[in-house]
Order: sequence, then structure tokens, then C-alpha cells
Amino acid sequence: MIKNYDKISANQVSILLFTTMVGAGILSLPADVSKEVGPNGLIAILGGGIASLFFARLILYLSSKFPTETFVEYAGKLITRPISIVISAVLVFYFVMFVSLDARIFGEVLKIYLLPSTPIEIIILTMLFSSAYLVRYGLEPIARMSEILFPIMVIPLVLLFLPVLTDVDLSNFLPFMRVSLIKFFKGMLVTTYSFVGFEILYLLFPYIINTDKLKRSVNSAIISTMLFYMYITFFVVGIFGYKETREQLWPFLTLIKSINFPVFFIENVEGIVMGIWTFTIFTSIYSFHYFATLALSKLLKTREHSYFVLPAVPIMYLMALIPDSIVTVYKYAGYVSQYMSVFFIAILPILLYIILKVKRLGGKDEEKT
Amino acid sequence: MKRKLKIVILWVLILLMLTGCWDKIEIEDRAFVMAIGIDLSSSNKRYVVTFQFPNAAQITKGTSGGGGGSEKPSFAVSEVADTIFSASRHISTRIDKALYLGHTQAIIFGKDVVENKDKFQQVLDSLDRSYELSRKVYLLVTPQKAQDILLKKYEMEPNTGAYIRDIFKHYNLTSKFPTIDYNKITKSLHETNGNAIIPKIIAGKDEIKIAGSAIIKNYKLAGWMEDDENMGYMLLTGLVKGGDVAVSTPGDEERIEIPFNISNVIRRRAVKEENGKIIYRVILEVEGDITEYTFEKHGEMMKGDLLNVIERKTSDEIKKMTQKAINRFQKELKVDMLGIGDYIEKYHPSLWEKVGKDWDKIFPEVEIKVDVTSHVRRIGLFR
Amino acid sequence: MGFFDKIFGKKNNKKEAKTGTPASNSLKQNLNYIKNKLKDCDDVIYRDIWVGENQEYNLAIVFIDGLVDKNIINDHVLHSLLLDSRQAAPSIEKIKGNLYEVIKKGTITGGDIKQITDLDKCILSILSGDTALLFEGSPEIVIISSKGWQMRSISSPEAETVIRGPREGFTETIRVNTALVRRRIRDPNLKIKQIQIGERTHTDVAVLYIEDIVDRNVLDKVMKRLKNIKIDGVFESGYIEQLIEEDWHSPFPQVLSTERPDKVAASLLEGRVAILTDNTPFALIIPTTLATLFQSPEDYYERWMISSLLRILRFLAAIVALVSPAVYIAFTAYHPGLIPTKLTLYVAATRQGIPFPAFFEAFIMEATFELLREAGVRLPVPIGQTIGIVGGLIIGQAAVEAGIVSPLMVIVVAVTAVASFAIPSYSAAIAFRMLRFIFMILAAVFGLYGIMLGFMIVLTHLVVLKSFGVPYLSPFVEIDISDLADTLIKAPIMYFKNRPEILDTPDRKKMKDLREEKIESIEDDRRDNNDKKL
Repeated sequence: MIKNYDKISANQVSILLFTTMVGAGILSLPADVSKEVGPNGLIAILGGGIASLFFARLILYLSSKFPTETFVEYAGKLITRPISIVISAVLVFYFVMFVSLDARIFGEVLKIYLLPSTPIEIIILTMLFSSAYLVRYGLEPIARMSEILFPIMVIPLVLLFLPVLTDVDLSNFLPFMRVSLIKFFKGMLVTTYSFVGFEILYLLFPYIINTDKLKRSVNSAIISTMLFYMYITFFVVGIFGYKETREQLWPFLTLIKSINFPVFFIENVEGIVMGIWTFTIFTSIYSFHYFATLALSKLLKTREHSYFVLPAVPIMYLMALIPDSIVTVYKYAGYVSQYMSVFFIAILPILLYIILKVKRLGGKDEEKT
Repeated sequence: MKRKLKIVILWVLILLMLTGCWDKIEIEDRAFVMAIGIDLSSSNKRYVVTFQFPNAAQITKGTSGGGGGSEKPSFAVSEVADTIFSASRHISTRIDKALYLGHTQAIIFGKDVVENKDKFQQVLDSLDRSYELSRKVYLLVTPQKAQDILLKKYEMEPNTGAYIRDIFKHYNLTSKFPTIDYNKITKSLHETNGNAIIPKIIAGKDEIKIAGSAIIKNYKLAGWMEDDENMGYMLLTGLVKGGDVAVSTPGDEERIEIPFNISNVIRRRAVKEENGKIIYRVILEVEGDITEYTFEKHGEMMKGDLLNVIERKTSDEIKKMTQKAINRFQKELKVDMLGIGDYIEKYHPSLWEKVGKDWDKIFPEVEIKVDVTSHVRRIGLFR
Repeated sequence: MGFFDKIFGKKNNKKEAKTGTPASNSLKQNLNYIKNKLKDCDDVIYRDIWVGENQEYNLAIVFIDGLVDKNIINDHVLHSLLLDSRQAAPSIEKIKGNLYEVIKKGTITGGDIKQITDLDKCILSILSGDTALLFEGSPEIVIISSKGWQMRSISSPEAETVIRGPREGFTETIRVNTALVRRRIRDPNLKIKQIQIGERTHTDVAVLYIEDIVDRNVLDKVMKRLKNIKIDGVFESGYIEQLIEEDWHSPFPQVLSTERPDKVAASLLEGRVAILTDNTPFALIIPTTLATLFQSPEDYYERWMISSLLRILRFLAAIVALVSPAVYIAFTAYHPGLIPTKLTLYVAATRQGIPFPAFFEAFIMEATFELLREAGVRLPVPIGQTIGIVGGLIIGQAAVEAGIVSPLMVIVVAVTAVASFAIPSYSAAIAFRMLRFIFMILAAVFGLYGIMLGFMIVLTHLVVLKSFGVPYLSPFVEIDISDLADTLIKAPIMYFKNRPEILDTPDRKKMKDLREEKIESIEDDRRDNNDKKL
């Protein structure tokens, strides 16, 4: 095992954030927002993105007050130790949960579109083992892997939709903003599942080389994610209309099935998209996997996170198999994202911020909000 | 120890993998269904599903050797079953290949299916949920039995599914049938609670013909549209990309039919509310060429008035067509297939909030005005 | 590590440090020592010489026939000693006392002269092709450089031909090779440090670098690892490569080997380190990244547009070589829905009646092709070429006609083979050839997902791999736009202002912004032209 310095640059942070956030969410996002806000899905995503940006910066600020510690360590200074231990444990569980969810959804999609007869256990298991192989090596390889996979994920998907631009019916986005405010907020809430990922900022700070560029990195990561989602939703809703979109399980994939690329002789872009989407899920899974083991190692005060990487696999595997069907999967995903995510993304940072200000704690003031 | 553990895990994984290949079906063992036909059985309780797939072996023999002769270029097999997909499973008792639906080009509904609301809805749902079917399939309805169409072998193109798909490829040459694919049809069905237009297909002796369409209201067949009505419908909904309108001129002696070849249609819409009545205006600007006239009358084209006359006549013809379509939908069927409700909902949401709920009742009362202007752009190479 | 020690025979702590044996004053004793050590070596030649006016001074020269240039010995050493010194007629005292000094400084007209007192070192020098001159009455031994053996003349490098560019390739003699590099870099900062590696072979290994540019981290690592090598023999730079690499498990080379001096020189200028090994024309360049494996020196000599296109082509070729058979297997057996309808029907048609499943078919064809390739290498040149082409074509054709494989498969295999030849670095091509089979197996089990899994695993490996501290996938990771200009495409020379960022070189700028100068000069020309017109 080659020893890494395990520090990454702000650039890499930005890319890592993006690839972690863009995961299983893109499949169902257009349907979820269409269900709540009808044709105004784009605006809901915009709102969700801005909110996420706000909270991400908040978490960043908190972490910057304790530049050499991860959340597990500095939480104890803000809240009482026992509570912070509990919260950290829940954070570990939270990350593990997302690995399982994403792995399960991945398996379901693969079974439907690519490998109907292959047992889903094998699909999930191979994915988890691949993730484990990478995660054992530490943070730097993960960041590098994200750097490599990032263009492969993004560029083809962006280009792929261009031929169908003519089929987009802009009137599908009307009527404009005639939904109640409550519904709109519900729409924003629904987008959380897709923006989940920047919680890793709780744990990243000590491992970053040049922390002064971090604000920009986080900004660009979240804004790019938001734009990416908007781009996809634009096409899905633009072509199907919101009524049809909300009926479908994975409108993104259904749209892919309809694209014709006669110029390049590739009738079915489905194959390419499936391949790329594998990478998308992979980036999310290994990121959560790593940060779960990192948090755990900090919690249990061990030196290497790699001890936990392999043992985590059977746990995640079993958790992934708990839901009976895709229906229950999405139910769980809904619970997790709407309760736990909101807690970690919104409630916790605000709480900690208040406590911070009250107690006037914190080390070097590197970040000025 | 660590190393040995890793090796053991690796071996376990490899062995796991080798037991696999669960999904592997060699390509020559598959039957690629090109077209599916769905009818009801005589008892009206079950489906008769016909699958048409080409004879793969025949394809290369045709190119390399010289004509196989008695080999069948494609097969069609029918099966009676309770649902579509159980039909495809039962068929495996008779065919040695595994049916693969991913390349299906067309699905034909027999008349009896679309006349039966429940059965039709069931079929549509199974198509929607399917993951193997591509969303690029074309749906068609036939006044005959779908089975009859698929069981025949056509000289033009023995692979019936491909035949149908290729006809759709040339849709912009005529506007005899609406070019709507699966996506648009399901969208329409979902949004309007069961209303849609589906192209019509009939089989002749040696060929098939796709012209006209079937009107589906509330998931049930409500009628057929031919020619003018069809054209009118397509004009009103902006589906026209080509086609011709026959215009007669007051010739000196006889009436001459001049075909006006449409090259482009620009459609604008407007909605107004006046005295409790909704007025929906469609403004069509049609551009086209003149391809035929009479041989002797040279130079007439360049003379000022003839073109205007032709243009006016064309506009009248078009208006007549649209009127026929409007009558059909508004007076006869009382169902909004013209996209008026959709338009109001999008562009005049406040109005929609007032009338949306009762749209079905209000629609027949809507006054629909159509204004058509035609422009002759090209007259060919002759004066 | 113990398991692998036995294979590589790193006998670390067993050897005693060799201390030298001092020479004595007696010629006879020294000679006996040498004769003992070199017993049964019949190619060693001992020649007694008597010099002086009265031929009273005994000298002896020892050399190995075949390793020395006889001309040097005859014309310079013997001639000087036997004839010139006689005519010199020095005084007896002078000769007696400082016989050695006199002769050495006065008469030997050979160029390179050293003096030592260690008999073992003397033997080593003799074995290296020098001539030893021993004196009666003095423990000093003069070592005259007289290396001159039969060697291959400088010829075009066989594995790395270019259309445009120098056709000089390294030879098996290290001194010739260092000269080839020196000719290209006439900078006093070009340092050549020579060490000897191999307990029994004492092979000369030279480390080249440019002092003020080189990445110190890399250099230190290299020197350290070289010094740590304890092995019996080093016959080829490949031995060294494997012994200093970080991860020898990996199929990917972490060290670039080349026969071309221009490639070595260019790398040195980027701040890299080069290693030359005696007895092999293959030099090593450290560090290496995946990107450098795709660069060919011709890229820099030809115009940038074509070079960029060719580079992109090479990357695509690598992917094709890696994945084509796997893709074929995945799409035909697992996902026929993902390929266009007409193609699907065609493939199904051509595979009618083939008795083997797609995976097996692919495997057999690929294995056969590898066999042919390997066989072609062993056979003498004219037959080898023919077998390769003829074998491929005929066997492929026959197999198709026999109905064992489908024609599409043959095409896939042929394309794969050709694509793997497009990769400039042979070692990298080998890596892709091997991985191809793994991808095939994965595709056979999991279809498209298998190919993705393969990518994930291979990428993981690449991402972790480091070549002497430099991440293997730079500059794609730790992205630096300026470095990218030389990898995927080849930007015009005007854009290469700085040395690669991945190397921690002290002196970044290697070129003034020639762009501005060039633009200025064009403008000047234009102005002059305008003036002339007026």
C-alpha cells in the first residue's frame, strides 16, 4: 500500500462534491418536481440549489473554524460530548444508508434495462466491492478518480440531448409559477435527495491543501450541480410535459429511450447512457463509503480508515436488500432525505452556528463569511 | 495473513462470477420481433397476439448467394393468451428462439381491441410499463384484424415491421396520416384522459397502406378520419409538414385541378373571451409550390392575377378541410383533440382556472375561427 | 515479501562487502594473484615487456583478447614502451626510482589513463576491456583505456521508427549512448553519473539529468533505489526497471523505455531522469505517466494539427484495442437492443449456425492471433512477416468459411490487433493486450456492466499508481490545463511555455513567449511590404 499524503486541492474538492451529489437523483428528479410544482420544476430546482448553496457555505464556515478537525471531533466542543458522539454515529449511519440506497437503485435500474436475469445481489455486491477496492487507498485516489470520471459523466450527457432540442416544446413550462408557496417549498424539499452529498464538507476540511480557494470551489460545485439538473429536467419536461413526467418512475431513462441519433448510426443511445450512469453511481457510492469509514475511524479513534472499508461492505449489502421492491426503496429514500437530510443539511448547521456564535469558539479565523 | 485474505476473497468473487452469465443469450438464438399485432379472440375475453420477426438466416443468403428460393423471409406467429406478455411467454413453447422485443418497430391494434375500453386500457398499460419495448415504436390501428396484416408476406418488403417504419420515415411527403409516435400518443392519452389519434393501416393484396387515422375517445374507438378531415386536423394541430391540396381554377372551358404542394405551415393561435363565449382563432400561413398546370397556358403564371387566384382558392380549400375536422370533433364527437384546452391551460392560465373543470361541456360551444393565407413560392421551371 | 524474494533472489544480507586486495611491489606476486583469479580464462593475455636501454626493467601488460582494441595496445602502449622509451634514454636513477612515473607520464601515448593500487579493481578493469600495466617494484598499476570490441553500428531503432526525425538509435555500448545524448545537449549542467550494478556482472549504469532543471525528488528516489539493488546480474535495462519500479504487480510500465536519443534528450529537458544501461540499447526515462506512453517524438517534428489528430487517434486506438472484443460480446449476447436494428439483424444472420457462443469465439480468435504474433517474432524476418499476414488472413478466412467464426468477429479481432500497434510504447501496448482478455471475461459474465466494472477496476489501479511520486494519470488528475496541451492533443510549440507542472522543477520557464515574438515579426514583415508598395 502506497502511502498518500491524503491532501487534496480545492479544485479536486469542487469536482469531488459534484460527482458525489450527482448520483441516483437524476433519474427521478424530474418526476418528483413535476408532481409537486407541475411545469415549474426548473424553478424548484433553482430554489433547491440556492438553498443548498447557502447551507453548504454554512457547513464550510463551521468547519473552517476548526481547521484541523473533522466534525466528529469539533462537534464535541460545541455540543456536549455524548450528544456529539450520537450525532456522529448517526452521520456514519446516514452515509452508509445512502450507499445502500444508491446501490439498490442502481441494481434495480440495471436489472430493468441491462441485465434482467442477473440476481440483483451480484450487481450490488460487485459494485460495493469495486468501491471498497478504491476506498481503501484513501482520499487522494478518490479525488483523482472523480477528476477522471467527471468529464466522462458530464460531457456525453450534455451532448446527447442536443439533437432533441427541436422536440422540446417550450410551452410545456407554462403556466408559469401558478403554484402555491407551500407547494413550491415542497418542491424544493423534494430536490434534497438530489443535492445530498455536500455533507462531506463536515469531514473534509483538514485534508485540503489550499483552503483559501474553498469558497469558490464549493460555489462552483453546487451551482454546476444545479445547472446540470436543470439541464436534464429542461429536456425531460420539455419533451414529455409535466403530466406525463410525473407518471414515470425514471423519466430520464424513458427520454433516453426515445432519442434517435440517426446521424451517428447509433440508434440507441441507451447503451452509452447506461455505461455513463454506472460511473455516476460509482462516484457517489465510493464517496459516501469513504466518508462513512472516515467518520467511523475518527469516532473510534483509529488511525487508518481502511480497517472499516471491507467490513462495511456486508452491512451495506444487507441494508440494500432490505426493501422489498422499488416502491419501498423510494419510500425509504423519501424518509431519509426528508428527515435525516434536512437535519444534517439545514437544522444541524444552523444549530451549530448559533452555538458557535454564542460560545464564541473557534480557532483561526480563516474564513470570513 | 492480509495477503492471503485478499486472495481468498478474490477467488470467491471469481467463482461467483463464473457461475453467472445469467443473461447471456446468443444473438442467433433470439427472434427479433419487428411488429406486434393485437386482436381480441372470438370470445372477446382474450387476446390474439401476433409476432412478426424476420428469418435471420435468410438475410445473408439473400446477399451472398443468389436468391434462396423457397426460404421464408419472415415468420409470423400468433398466440392466444390473457395478456400480451403471457402471450410472448407461451409462444416459447412453439418457437425455438427467444423473443426479443427491443427492436419492435410497430404495434398494430385490431379494430376489436380499440372498441373494447377495458381491454384497450389494459394493453396500453402493459406497453407503458414494459422495459423491453423501445419508445420509438409506432402505434397503428386497423379496421381489419391485425393478425391478417401480419400473416401476409409483402413483396415490397418482407419484413413487415421494417416496412411500416420506413413508411413513417417519409411522412413529410404527404400528410395523409399523422406522424405521431408512441410518445405523443401516450402523452395525449394521459393528459386528456383517454383521447388520442392513432394512424390507420390497411393491408392490400401485396402491400400495406397507412393513411387516415382512428379517433380514440375515452379509450374507445370513436370513429375514423380520412383525407380531408385528417388533413384539417393535422393543420389545426400543427402536424403538417408537406402534402398537397387540389385547387380548381375556373378555367375557360373546364375546371382544372392544380395541386398546391405545401412546403411549410406556420400556425398561430389566439384565444379571447367575449360575452361569456370563448373564441379560439387559428391563423395559418401556408407556403407552397405549384407543380402542375395546363400545358398550353404558357406564361400565365407570370401574369399578375393567376397566382392570387390560386392562393385564394387554396386558402378556401384548406379552410374547408379544417372546418370538416372542426365539425367532426366539436359537433359530432364533442371531444377536444385540437389542443385548444391545452393551449388555454398554458397561455391563459387564469381563463383555464375558470373553465378547466367543465371543459368537456364548454368545448362544443367554443367558436373556432380559422384564417388561412396561402403563398405560392415556387412554380417550377416553367412559366 | 519473502515469497517474492526467492524469485528475484535479492540476497540482501548474505554477501560480505568486498574489500580490495592491495598490490605488492613484486611484479611476480601481483601477476600471480591475477593469474590465479583469472585461472582457466584463456582469453586473458599476459605480455612481459622489458624496457630501458638495457632492457632491464620488467613490465607486464594484461588484457583480454576480444575486449580491447588491439591498435591501441600495439600503437600506443607497446610502441611507446618498446621503442620510444628506448630512445628516451633516461638516466638510470630516474628510471629506477620513478620508473613508473616516467613511463606513465612520458611514454604512454594512449588517452585515458588511471592508476590504482587495488588488484581486484585491476581485475575488474581488465574484465571491462582496459589494459593493465604492472611494474616491477611498484604497487601502482596503470590502467589504460583500450576498450574496443565489436559492436553494432548506430542504426535506426527498430521498434520506434519515425517518418521524420533522426534515425539514430542507441547501441549496446554505454559510452556510445552517452555520447549520443551529449551531442544533443551541450549544457554543462547535463550530468552523467555512472555506477555499477550487479554483483557479478558489474554492469555500467549511467544516470543522466540536467542539474538545475531536474525534479530533485525523483532524482533522489532513483539514486536511492539504484543503490539498493543487490542482484547477481543485470543484462538489460528491464531488470533495472523491474527492480526500481514502485509497483511491479501492475501491467502498466512506470518507466518508459526507448531506443531513441532524441526522446531521451527531450525528456531530460523536461526535468526527467534518464538511465542508460550497458549492453542494451534501451534507455529508461523516469518518471512516466500514461500520457507520455502515447507520445511519439514525431509529434514534435511535424505540424501541430496532424500531430493532435494522431494523438487523439492513438487514445481512441487504445480504447478500441482494449474493449472491442468485449463490446462485441456484450452487445451481441446481452444487449442486442442497444445496437441499431439493421446491424442487429445482420449480426444475427451472420452468426447463424456458428457452433460457439460469442465469448468462446472471441476468445479463440484472440488467442490464435496472439499465437500468430508470438510465432512471428521467433521466425526469421522474411518468414515471420509472411506468417503473420498470411496466417491471419488465411486462418481467419478459412475459419469463416468453415463456419466456426463469424466474419464480424474476424474483423473485430483484426481491428483490435491493428489498434494495439498504434500505441507508441510497446510496453503499454502489451498492457492493453493483456487487459483485453479480462474485459472479455467480464463482458461475457455481466455484459455492458462487466465492461464498466472493468473500467472501474482498471481506473482505480491507474489512479493509485505512482511513478516515482508522480501520479500515473497526470495530467488528467490534478488537472493543470497547461499540461493537458501536450497530452490529448499537441498544441503548437508556441504554447509550450513551461515545463510540465507535474514535475517539481525549479526552473519553469523554458521558452520565452515565442508567440509574441513571432507575431511581432509577422507584423514587421507586413509593414515592410506595405511600405514597399507605397
